[in-house]
Amino acid sequence: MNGTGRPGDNQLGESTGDVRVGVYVCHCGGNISDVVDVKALAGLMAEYPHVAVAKEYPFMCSDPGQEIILEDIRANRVNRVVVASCSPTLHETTFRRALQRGGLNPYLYEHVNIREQVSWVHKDDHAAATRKALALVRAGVEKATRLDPLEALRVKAERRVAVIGGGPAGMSAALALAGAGLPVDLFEKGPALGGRLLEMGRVFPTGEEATALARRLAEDVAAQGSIRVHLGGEITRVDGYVGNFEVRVEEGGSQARVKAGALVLATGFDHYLPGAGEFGSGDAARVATLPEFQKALGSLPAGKVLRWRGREIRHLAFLHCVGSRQAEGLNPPQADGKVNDYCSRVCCTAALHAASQVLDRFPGTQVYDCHKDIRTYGRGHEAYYEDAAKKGALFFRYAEDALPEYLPASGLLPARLKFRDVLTWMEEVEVPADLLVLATGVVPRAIKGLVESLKLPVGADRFLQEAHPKLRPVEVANNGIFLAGTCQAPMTLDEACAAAGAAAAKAAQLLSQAEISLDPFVVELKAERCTGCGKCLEECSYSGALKLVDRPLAGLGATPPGPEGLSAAVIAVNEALCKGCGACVAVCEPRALELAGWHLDQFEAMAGAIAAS
Amino acid sequence: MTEKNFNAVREQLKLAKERRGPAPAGLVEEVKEQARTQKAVLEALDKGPLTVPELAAAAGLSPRKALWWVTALRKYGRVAEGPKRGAYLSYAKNAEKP
Amino acid sequence: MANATLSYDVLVVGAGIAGLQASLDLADQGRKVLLVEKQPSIGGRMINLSKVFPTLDCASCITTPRMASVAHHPNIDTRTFAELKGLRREDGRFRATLRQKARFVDGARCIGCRSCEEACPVLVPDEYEHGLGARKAIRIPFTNAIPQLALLDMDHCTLCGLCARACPTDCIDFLQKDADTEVEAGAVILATGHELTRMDAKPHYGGARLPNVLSPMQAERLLAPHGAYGRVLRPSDGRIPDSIAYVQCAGSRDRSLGVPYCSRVCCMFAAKQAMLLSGSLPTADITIYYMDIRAFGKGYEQFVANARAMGIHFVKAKVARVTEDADHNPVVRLERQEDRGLPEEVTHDLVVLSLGMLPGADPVLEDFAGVRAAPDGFLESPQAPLAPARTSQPGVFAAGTATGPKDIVDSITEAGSAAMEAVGFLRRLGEGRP
Repeated sequence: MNGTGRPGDNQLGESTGDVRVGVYVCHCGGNISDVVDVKALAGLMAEYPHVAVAKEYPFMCSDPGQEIILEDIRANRVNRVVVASCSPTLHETTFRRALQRGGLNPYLYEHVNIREQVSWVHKDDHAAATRKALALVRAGVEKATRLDPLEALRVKAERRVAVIGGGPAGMSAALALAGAGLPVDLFEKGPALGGRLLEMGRVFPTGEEATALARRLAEDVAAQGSIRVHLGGEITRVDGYVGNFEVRVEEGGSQARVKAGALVLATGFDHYLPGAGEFGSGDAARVATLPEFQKALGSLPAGKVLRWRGREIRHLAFLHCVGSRQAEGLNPPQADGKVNDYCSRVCCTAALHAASQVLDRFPGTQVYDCHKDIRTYGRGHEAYYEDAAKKGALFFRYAEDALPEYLPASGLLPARLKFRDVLTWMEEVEVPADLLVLATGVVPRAIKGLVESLKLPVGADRFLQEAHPKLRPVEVANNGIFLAGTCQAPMTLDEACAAAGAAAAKAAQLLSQAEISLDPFVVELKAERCTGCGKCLEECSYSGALKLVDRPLAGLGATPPGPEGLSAAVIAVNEALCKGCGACVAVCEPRALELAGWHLDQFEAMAGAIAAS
Repeated sequence: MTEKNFNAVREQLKLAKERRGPAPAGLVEEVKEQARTQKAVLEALDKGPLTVPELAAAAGLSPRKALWWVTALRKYGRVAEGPKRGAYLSYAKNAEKP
Repeated sequence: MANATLSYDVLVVGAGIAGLQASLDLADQGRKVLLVEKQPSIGGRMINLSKVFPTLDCASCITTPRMASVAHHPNIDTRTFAELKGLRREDGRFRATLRQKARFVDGARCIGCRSCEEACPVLVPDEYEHGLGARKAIRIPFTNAIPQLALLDMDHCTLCGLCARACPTDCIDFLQKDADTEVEAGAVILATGHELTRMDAKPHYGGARLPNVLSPMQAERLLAPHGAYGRVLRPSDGRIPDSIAYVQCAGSRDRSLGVPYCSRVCCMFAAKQAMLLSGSLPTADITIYYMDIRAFGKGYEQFVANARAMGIHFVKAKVARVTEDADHNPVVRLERQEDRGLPEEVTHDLVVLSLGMLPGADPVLEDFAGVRAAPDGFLESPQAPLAPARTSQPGVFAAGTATGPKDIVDSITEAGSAAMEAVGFLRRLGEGRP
C-alpha cells in the first residue's frame, strides 16, 4: 500500500489529481438537527480546505440522500466522501456501497458520528454541540484527504459447513444447508441425534410426541448423503477464520480434523438446576422440576388422581420463574455472582401445557398455578392458559418483592407454598402442594472451550451475543460463525428451528461464492523495519494473526548485517485472522507495523484539526 | 413544465375529466373551504406567533382543527414552530416563505 | 419484451421487514426475486416507527439500509403499489398477474423533487401519520420512501393541473391506467404482514371517538422526530401532555373481539413508548395499565426493569371504560388489582390503546394458490414445531406476521428460514444451481 499520506498523493481515478472532498451532514430526522445547527455546519465546512461541496439533508442514508452523493461524484468530481451522521456501525457500509455504485473506491470514505457522540449527549447546549460537531467533521475531512484506495481482502472459502450440536436446531440447520446444496458435518457429542427434543414429552402447540419429531428429523438427516454425522465425539478445538475453519474432534480414541468455511453453533441449553433447598428442591418425592415432570407425565397411567412416586397428588402446584426473572438482593446469586434476570420465555407455556394435560387426565387433582405474569405469548399458547382456567386450575400471582416460601409437610399438614397474592389484594396465602413443580428456566449450555478458542462474544445473560439484537439475531461479531437456537437465547422448538433456518441462510450466502471478501483494515508490515523483537506478539489477541518467521539476514535494513547464511526472525501477518485492533501498532517501536486505513499520520492530522478548532 | 407541454397537459386534463366524470362529491367545495381556512390561519398569524388555542379563537376554528392546520402548514414550510408558552408551543409564519 | 411473462426463482409478497429480509437472504444466494408491495413504498410497518425495542435504535436508521440494499440489489426486482392477482400453480411453477396500480406519474421520469407536492392545493389527512398530519393529493409518500416517486390520489384530485405545470420533467400522466403483467416463479414467500384491530373495536374505550385517545401507531408518530407534530402534543388542542396512560390488551386476549390470542409486541411497544415519552417529557407521569407484562424476548425483561426504574408506573388493573371530561381529558375507569379498592376514575391528558394484531391478508380472498388460514385468521403453519415457515401448500412459504403476531427480530429470523425453505424447494424441483 502506498500510504505516504499527503493530500494530493492519493490517486482516485488517474484523471483527478486533486483531492475534492464532499461533506454531507445528516439531520437524522431531527435526531441531529434538533441539537446541532446543521445548516451552519455545512456552511462552515464548505469553506474548509479540500472541501468541494458541503450539504445537509434530512436522511443521508435514504435513497435520495445517497443519490446526492452519487450526483456530486458525477457532476462535481467529488473523490473523497465524508458523511456526518450516526454511528459508523449503522451506516458506514451503506455509504461505502453508495461510493462503489458511484464508481469510487469504497474506502475513500470517512464516517463522522455526530449523533451518539454529539447530539444525543449534548442535548442542552446547542452551540457547544455544533462546535464539537464542527471539530469532528474537520477531523474527518483531514483524514479523508489522506485516505488510500484500499482493496478488500479476498480469502478462499471451504465449501462446507460444520454444525455443532445435533438437537433440533442443529439438525434443522444441517438439513437446510444440505437442501441448498452445501455439504455439512454435523457434530453431536451424545450417542444419538435429538438433543433436548428427546426429553420434551409432548410439544406445544400441536401436542405431537417430541421423540417422534426427533426421529423424523434424524431420519431426514440420515437420508441426506451430503450430511456427515459425527456422534459421540468431543470437539477438542476449533481454529481458523472465516472460510477456513478447522474442527478437531476426538472420535473413538482418534483425532479427526474437519475443514469448514462456516460454523453454525447449535449447542443448545441446559435446564436451570435449583440450588439445594431452593423452593424445597431436594425433597424428591414432593418437589420436581418441570422438565422432570414433563418427561414422566406421558407415561403416568391416567386415573382420577395423579400419582407421583407412589403418592396420591390431590394438590399439584406449579411455581413459575424458578431460575428466571431473578432479582438482585432477593434471589441468591449464581456461580458467577450474577442473578438470572432474564425471562426464559418457554416455561409459562410449558407449565400450562403440563397443567392442562394433568387436568385432562386426572380430574381429581386440583392444580394451582403461582406466577409473576403469565407469558403465554405464542401461537396457540394462550389456549392452554384458557383451558387450564376453564378446567378449574386456580391462579395466584405472587408479589415480586418477596420469594414464595416452601413449607414442608408437617403432621397432618401437607407441604405448602406461602406467598402474598396480588390477585387477592396482597393477601397472604398458603397453597397446598402434595407435589410442587418448579417451572425452571433455561440457561445456556456451558461451551467454555468453544467460546475461548473462537473468542465468541457472550452477553451478560451468558448466552452467546448476537451481532445486533434486532436486525442480526443469528450472526455474531466473528465472521463466518452463526447461531442456531437456544445457544443465543431461550426459545421454543419452532423458534429454534426458524433460527436454524436463518443461520443456514447466512452460511449459505457466505459460501455462495468461492471467495469471501473482507475489510482491508488489517496490519501492514514494513518488513525492512522489523527487528523481530516480538513485542507485538505479546499484544496480539488473535492467535495466528501474527507470527515470527525466519528470514535470511542479508538485506534487512534495521538489523546490523550479520554473517552470510544466518537468518533472523521477522513478523509475518495473516491478514484473514487480523482484526485490525491496532494493539501491535502501539507497541512497535521501529514503526514497522501500520494499520491500513488508520495510519498514524492520519490520526495526527485528525488530532491537529480537533486541537485547532 | 416545458412550453411545448402546456397544451398537452390541457388536453390530458380534458380527457381525464371526461373519463372520470364529475369530481368526487364535495371535493371542490372542500378545496375552496381549505383555501379560505388557510387564508384565515395565515392572516391570524400575521399579527404574531400564536398557540393552538389562540389561533383557534382568532381564526374561528376548533383547537383540534387549528392544530391540524399548523401541522400541515409547518410541513409545507409556511409556518414555523416558535417558543413554548406554558404548556403550548407557539407558531409563527415562516419568514423564509411568503 | 412486451407481454412476455417475467420469470423469477421466488416471488415475495410484501416488502415489510420480513419480505425485505427474505428477499435479501435469497438474492444473496444468487436467486432471482420479484418483491411485490401493495403500498407505494417498501419498508412496511417498521419504517413507520420512531424507535425499536430493546435497543432504542431509531427505526428509520436501521430500516433504510435494508430498504436501500433491496432496491439496489441486482437479483431483486421490486414493484411497489402493485398486487398479485390469481396466484396459481401450473406445470410445477407458480403464475400470477402482477397488477401495477396507476400512480398517475411516469416512474421512469419522476425525479422525486416534490415540486408537484408544493404546487398541489388539496390537503388530505396523511395515512403515514395516521391522520395526525396532512399530505397533498399528489405527494412523495414520506421522506425516506423507496422509490422516491410521486403518487397522485385521484380520489382527492380536482384535475386542476397545477402539479403538471410545476413538474420539471413532465412526468405526470392523468390518463395512466393500471397495467397487468404475467409473472411466474418456482416458489413463493408470503410476507403479507398484519393489520391492527380497529380503534372502535371496544367502543367503551373511546377509540376513534375521543380525540385524545390514540392508537399505538399514532403515538409512534408523536414520538418520531420527523412525525406529524415534530413533538409530543395532544391532538385536541396542541397541549404538551403531562399525564399519559396505556391501556394494554385493548385489542387482544379478548374472545369477544375474535382475538383470543396475545399480540406479543404490545407490552414491549408500550414500555418502549413510555421510555421515549419520559425522555421527551421528563416531568410527565406515565402509566401502563396491564394484565400480564409479557417481556419474553432477549433483553426484554431487563428493558421493562429499566422502564420501571425510570419511574414509569406499571399498574395491574382492569380498565372498564374510557370517557372524557369537558376539556377532552380522557378519564379511565379502572379497578386496581394490587390493593383492595373500589373502582376509581383517573384523568389523564392522553390515552394510548394497545391494539391487537390482525392478519394482513386473507389467503382465500387473495387467491393465494390454495393456501389456507388457521382459525385465528393468520396463515396456517401445519408443520409449525419443526418447519414454521411452511404453509399448507408445498412451495409457498410464510414469513413474519403473516403467520401470527411477531416482533421484528422474530420476523427477521423467520424470513431467513422461509428463504432457506424456498431454496431447498427450488433445488428439489430440479432447478438446482451451485
